[in-house]
Amino acid sequence: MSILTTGFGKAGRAWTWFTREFLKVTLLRVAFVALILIATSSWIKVRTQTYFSAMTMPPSFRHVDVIHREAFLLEYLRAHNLDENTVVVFGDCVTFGHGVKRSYTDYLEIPGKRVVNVSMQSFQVNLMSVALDYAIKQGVTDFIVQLHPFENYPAEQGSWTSITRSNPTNSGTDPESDLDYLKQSRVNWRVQSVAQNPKLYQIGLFEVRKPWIEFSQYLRYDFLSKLKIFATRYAFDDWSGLDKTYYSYRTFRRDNFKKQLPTERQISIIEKKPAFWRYFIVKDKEEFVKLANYASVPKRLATILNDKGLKGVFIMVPTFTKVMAEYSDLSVKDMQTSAEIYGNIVRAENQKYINLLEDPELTAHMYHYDNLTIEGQKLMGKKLSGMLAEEFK
Amino acid sequence: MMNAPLKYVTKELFMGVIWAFLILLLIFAPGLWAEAVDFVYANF
Repeated sequence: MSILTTGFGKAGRAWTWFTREFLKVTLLRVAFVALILIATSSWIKVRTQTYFSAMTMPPSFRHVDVIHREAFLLEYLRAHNLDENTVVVFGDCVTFGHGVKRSYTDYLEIPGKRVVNVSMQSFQVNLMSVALDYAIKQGVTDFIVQLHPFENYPAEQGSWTSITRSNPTNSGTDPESDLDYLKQSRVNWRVQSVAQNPKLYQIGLFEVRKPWIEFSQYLRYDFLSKLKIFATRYAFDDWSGLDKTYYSYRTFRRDNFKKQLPTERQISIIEKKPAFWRYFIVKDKEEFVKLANYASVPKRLATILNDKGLKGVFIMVPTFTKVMAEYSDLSVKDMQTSAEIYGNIVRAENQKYINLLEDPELTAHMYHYDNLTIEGQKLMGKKLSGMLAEEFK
Repeated sequence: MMNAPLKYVTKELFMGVIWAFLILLLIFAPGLWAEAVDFVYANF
């Protein structure tokens, strides 16, 4: 060292201090470092626990970076201490609340049971499987699953079968994809979240964050967000007297009412494309039933619950079908058919099915697709409390 | 002033705090960088 330190004045003395004092490994120093690190990580753990246990529903997954969703979900579940007296509720937007601060699960009372809301906000079967796997390991036997009647036949076909590997929402639905799906659900989710996150790429074991954003992505999300084009949507909450919402005006969703092309037009467009695109079209109801029985969210979850001898109640959410029919290319009959088919699938797997589609009391409290106001959520909680009082015993 | 053993322990504690800080910085560096990038893209 002397050759480095000689003749460099203060810098030389700093170097001497660095090498002789700072880099010296002593037992006491190592002990202090270990103590500080243990204290810090314990404090972080307690802080995380407090943060997530204060929530009655998981964080807004749609706005969480894909790569963090699994970690957030597991932290949330750990904070809620699942056990055999817990009823876990899976769902998407209705269970999440969407626009209201508390969803129906807060008003759901089941004697002798504690309700834990694990809404995915957007229906993500892979992520849901991670939660299901964790819950089963904690001894949970009772589950409530909220379902949707949505999606038209071509879209169902696209999202359920052909694009299953690349679609994070439904990729876990193919029953023949692997033998013990739940066991590797975390790995599946991990691989997919990296694959679909435009900000991340993978080098070997490392996930690397791109320090830039593609221009189109910037244009679509960041630039348009700045213009507040969609911000007016959740002003609705203010008018309806809700002082607090999960959606601030900054975190509005981007998928709003959109008039889709009629089904015939969609099909005619697809038919002009190369032949393999025709595979995406479902011809009729029979084919739809066949597909739904082969690969669908209700089928997958009901099969798992039935195979493991667990209890599941599947709830079809209320929907104001007439408004849906007006603003999309879904017909009222499509939605009713969809609800009926899911019911058959679920019942075939010995699970209970409650159909609240077009429930007159609840649909009176709707304001967007299938979203309920706070009064609607209260009513739904009360209604289900009555229906499920004898169910989980 | 301080006696020798106390001086030694104080010095080691001081070094320990710096070491722990640097280790934590190393652990959280990717996250902090990611947050910084997010912050820049979200606000500028």
